[in-house]
Amino acid sequence: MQQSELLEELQQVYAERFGLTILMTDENGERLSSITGDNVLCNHLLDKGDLWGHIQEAAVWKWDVTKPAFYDILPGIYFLVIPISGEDGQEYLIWAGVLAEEGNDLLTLGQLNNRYGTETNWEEMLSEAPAVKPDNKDWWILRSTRLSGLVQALLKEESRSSGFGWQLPLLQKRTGLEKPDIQGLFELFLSERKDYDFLGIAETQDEEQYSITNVAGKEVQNLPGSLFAPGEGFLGRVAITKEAYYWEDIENNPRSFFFHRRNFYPKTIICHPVQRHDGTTAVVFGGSVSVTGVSRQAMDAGQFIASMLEAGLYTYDLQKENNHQLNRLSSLIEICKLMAATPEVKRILYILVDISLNLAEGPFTSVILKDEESDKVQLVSRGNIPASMEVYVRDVIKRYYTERSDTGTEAQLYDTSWGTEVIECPLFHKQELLGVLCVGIGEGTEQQLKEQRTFLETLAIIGAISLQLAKQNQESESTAGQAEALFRAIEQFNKEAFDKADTTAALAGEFAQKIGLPAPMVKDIVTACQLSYYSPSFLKDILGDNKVSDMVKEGLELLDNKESPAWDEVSIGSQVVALGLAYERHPENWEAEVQSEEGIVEEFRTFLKERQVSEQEFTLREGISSPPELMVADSTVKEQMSLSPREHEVLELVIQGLNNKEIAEELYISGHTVKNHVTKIFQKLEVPDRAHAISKVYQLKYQHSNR
Amino acid sequence: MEKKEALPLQMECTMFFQSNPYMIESLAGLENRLGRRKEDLQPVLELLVQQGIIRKTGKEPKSLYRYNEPMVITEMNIPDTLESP
Amino acid sequence: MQKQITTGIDGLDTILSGGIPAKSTVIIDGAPGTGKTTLGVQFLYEGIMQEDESGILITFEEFPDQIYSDVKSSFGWDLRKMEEADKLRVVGVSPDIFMDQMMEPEGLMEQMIKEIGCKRIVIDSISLFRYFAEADGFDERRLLYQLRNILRKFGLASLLIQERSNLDISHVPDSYFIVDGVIRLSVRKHLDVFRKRTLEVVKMRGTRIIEGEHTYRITERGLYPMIAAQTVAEHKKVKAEKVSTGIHGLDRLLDGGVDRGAVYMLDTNSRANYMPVIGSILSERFRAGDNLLAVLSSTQTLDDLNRLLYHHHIELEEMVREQQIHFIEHYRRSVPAGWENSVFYVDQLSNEDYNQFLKNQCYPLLHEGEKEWFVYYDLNTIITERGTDYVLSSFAKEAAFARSLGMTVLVLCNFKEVGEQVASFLERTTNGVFKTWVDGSNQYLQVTKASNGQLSEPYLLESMKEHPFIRLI
Repeated sequence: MQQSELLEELQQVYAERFGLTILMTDENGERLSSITGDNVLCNHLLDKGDLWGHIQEAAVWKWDVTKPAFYDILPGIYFLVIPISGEDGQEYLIWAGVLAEEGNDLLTLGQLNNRYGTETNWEEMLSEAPAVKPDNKDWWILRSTRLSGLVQALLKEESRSSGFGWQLPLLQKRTGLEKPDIQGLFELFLSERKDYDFLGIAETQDEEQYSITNVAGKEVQNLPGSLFAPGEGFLGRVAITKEAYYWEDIENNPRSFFFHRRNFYPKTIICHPVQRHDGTTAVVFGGSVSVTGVSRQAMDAGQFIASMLEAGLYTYDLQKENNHQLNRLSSLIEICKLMAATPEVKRILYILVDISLNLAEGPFTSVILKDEESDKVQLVSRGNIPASMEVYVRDVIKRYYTERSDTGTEAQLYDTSWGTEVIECPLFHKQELLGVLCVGIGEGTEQQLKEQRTFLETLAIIGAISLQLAKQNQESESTAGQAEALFRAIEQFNKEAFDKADTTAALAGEFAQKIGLPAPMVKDIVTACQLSYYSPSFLKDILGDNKVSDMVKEGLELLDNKESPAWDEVSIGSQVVALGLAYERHPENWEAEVQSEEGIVEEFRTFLKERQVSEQEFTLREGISSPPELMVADSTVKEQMSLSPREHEVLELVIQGLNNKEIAEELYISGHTVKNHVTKIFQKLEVPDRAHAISKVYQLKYQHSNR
Repeated sequence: MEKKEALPLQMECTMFFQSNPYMIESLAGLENRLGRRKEDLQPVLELLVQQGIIRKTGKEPKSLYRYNEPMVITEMNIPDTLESP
Repeated sequence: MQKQITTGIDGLDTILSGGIPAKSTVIIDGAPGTGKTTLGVQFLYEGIMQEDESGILITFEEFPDQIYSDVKSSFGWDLRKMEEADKLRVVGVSPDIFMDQMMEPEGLMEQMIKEIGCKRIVIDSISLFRYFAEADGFDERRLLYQLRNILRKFGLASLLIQERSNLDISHVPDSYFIVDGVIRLSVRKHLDVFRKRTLEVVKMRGTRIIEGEHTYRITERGLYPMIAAQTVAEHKKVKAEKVSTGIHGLDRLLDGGVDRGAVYMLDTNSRANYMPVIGSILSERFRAGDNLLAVLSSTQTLDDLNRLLYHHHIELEEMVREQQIHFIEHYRRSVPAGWENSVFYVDQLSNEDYNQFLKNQCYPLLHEGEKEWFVYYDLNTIITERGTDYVLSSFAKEAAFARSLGMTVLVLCNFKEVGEQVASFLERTTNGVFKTWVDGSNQYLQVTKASNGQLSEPYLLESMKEHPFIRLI
């Protein structure tokens, strides 16, 4: 009973970790275990298809294998078949599946549709199934070997020790996403296995050294942190050979000195290698301090704990790696977002070089930009720029700009003359090459290079889009600046024209907005009206090919050339400009200027009417809403002080802070007269000066309003 | 901290200094500004100094960090000889 | 007058008669949300745009990139572009590092100042010095003093931004004494509908200022103070005639004395012996030939006043005979024979009647004759007898009236007793405030508000045997 429970547990653990469905049969095709696991495709095929039949058929074959193998139970769909030989000479088969062959998706899909019909979403199921491909086959085989080892050990144990399932608690101490609790596992193991007195694991510290990282059991307290080289001592040997090994009666073995130095005197030592995700090997070691021999069971138990650790650590490492990749990717995406949100050429270039240096950690990074028209090249770079950089830059220009090799947006790997490898990412926007991001790469594995390349490509694509945006922004800003300058210039030589143009621009802008034209066009219309004082050809010279000059040109043509063009031939922007200019020329009789009955003319008419009304309303409202101005000398004061109307006027201006000269200008009277008025006012108000006059009015008003 | 894990923080610091080119801060100040632990920041800052993205002035523990602008060559003339193969 | 640096902020330059004095250090004090940082950035931005003067913004808390984007979106100021042109640096730094680098010869700050030829600096905010001063056992005041000296050494026009922490408006922070000027920004709820922002130059060494609280708005071009027409006119008025207080030290602080036609407040408490101050000021007025209108207090009878002035060699008897003096009495206390005509009893009058009395009896009296009138007004009594509401509703009116008649007024009041709100109202309504208080066994006097913008340090009041019996040390 214990045995089958354990097996189920083991099956469950593996099924979960590898995304497979697992079951066990005997050599007659009889199912011995339940079916565990959530492999959707497998479960669907078992449920709805004839997969079980295929398994039964296959099970009775003479498999004659000692190691796990791939079996394509359906075209493109694989099971891992794991042979187990029981103590009783019985052969069993573990079926773990299904996996889909990568690269054959379409064929496999066709087969499934043919066999089982198209109602099922095979595509989705296929994509969810773990992939088998040439470069991961060995990995799957290795995993399966571990499973077979564990099952084998279980079965043997069962046959000997009447159902004592010491493995169960270990298996139940499942390792999830967190780092496996090695210490806890070790202690549990030691409490279950009396033939072991100690257990430990050594992991790679750096390329040259191993370090003992976890230990449990008797007399081992000095071991943690101990270093050894691969090949050195018992542990070092397993680290190099990567094969399990045991040594008995080692008290006088010279290799034991490593332990003796640390006041640890083992009698036996059993070592098992543990493969890690990053390609390194850890060594699990255990043994006894009392018994001098190593039993078969003890070896198997060691194998068991090593396999468990390997599976646990592997999943953890994989998960961690995935998380990191995800983190790196999301950081990169954040930066890309920021870049796209800040359309400034300089910043984007800085981000490109800085972040690519972060990513590649290479000797240098550089953005090379070339002016389309001239031969001038701009270079923004970081790191150690080699002396031969100029040669390289020329080479890049030649390859990307002159020869225009059709590389698309893909990053290219290039070997420079001085031996540094460079990832070159062209900054393409639509058909235009904006520059090339060249990133020298540092040392790293194939895998890292691949990732860097992907990241840099992403960076380059977003960089190119952002650069394009920034350039557009710059252009429109510089045009706007020029237009503004031209408009201001009118003020200098013809104030009247300037005021008129200003009013017209406001009117046309308002109208354009009202009829729902897009903001950039509204802006152009406003600019066109502001600049209509200049001849269209002059504007074209100054502003270049620009909608504004076209609008002025067409707008004027609409008004002045009665024949052509017709209203519906020109852009709506030009039409609005024409209406604005017509109104500017003859506010009362603008329709005569236009001589058209296009719909837009009618709209303009309505707009003008509404505008008049709303303007009146506006002024009215304003008059009411503004708080009573304290400083306006109203009739109360006038009456109380018996001021003449003129004196009243002057007093108001005094209160507004005008001096005599300003008052004279305002009222078109002489300074002398103003002085007389002011003196009279002071006398009437009985005040010595302006300040007191204001104070007096304040007071009178205050008293009046509080009365 | 492993190198790989440090990359997001490295990019965060890079962007921080780049966005604030005249930020002059000590390790302790950066700890506050960025809301990151000193132990995590220190190696990343050293790396950025090595990469030349930031500058470090003053002696420990009063070292100050600030952004170092990339080298910009605005006009490099590529002669016509390029055109001929 | 010293060379002045225009702030570039239109209304503010007017208020400051052209700007802040060159190389001066000015505190911008204000509660959160008053636009201190905006004012600071505006000062630098306009400095660059109008005067081509480079500037540095030191920001302790806010990140430079936040400032770049904030002012770009709110006011369209492109600070990054200015940095590229080497006209500006927005430096994010911790207060301790900043001070360290400021003090260090050829430190980062000095390098930067030289690099861009910096003329203006804004530090946001010096309130943070407190924390680092506390941590390092520094004296905050000394730190600020050091900073001011360094800034002066570099010849920088500096704005130091300070968070208003103390809401008590009559509280004067230490920092005010160290710097050359203080500009205070406030936000008040106005009519419960909108917030009214006001700017007041509390102190400014070496330049004439327009007093009072000026409303300002935050427009798309930054802070925009609006100067009331009234104050503009006041500003344009020729230099006010000075009225001596009789106390030499005080006169010196006030550039010769109180302004004729202005209203002054003596903020005092019961423990402080303010009588010598009153005695000196009043006697000085009599000697100068002014007439007097006095609102008698509950604690001071006519006899008391008589005796006080007698000490100061003034015979009140004679003044009464000449009708040079009038009293307003809120209590029905006996008066010496022959003085009856000089005393107005108002103890029976309601507030409304009292108002009528002032208007119909009192004011016409003051119109008569050629002489200048001086008013001695015990506001404590009015508050006790007529209530705070009465004061709030009528004081501004009375003050304005007195000013319009050119009367110089000395108001006696206990700010602590009337409460913060009333005190702040009174402070705003008056042209100047003197404060006297007792600390330990000593009495102090300080000018906390004056028309010349000078805010004095607290002075010790020492008794003397002779008139005026006190002097400022």
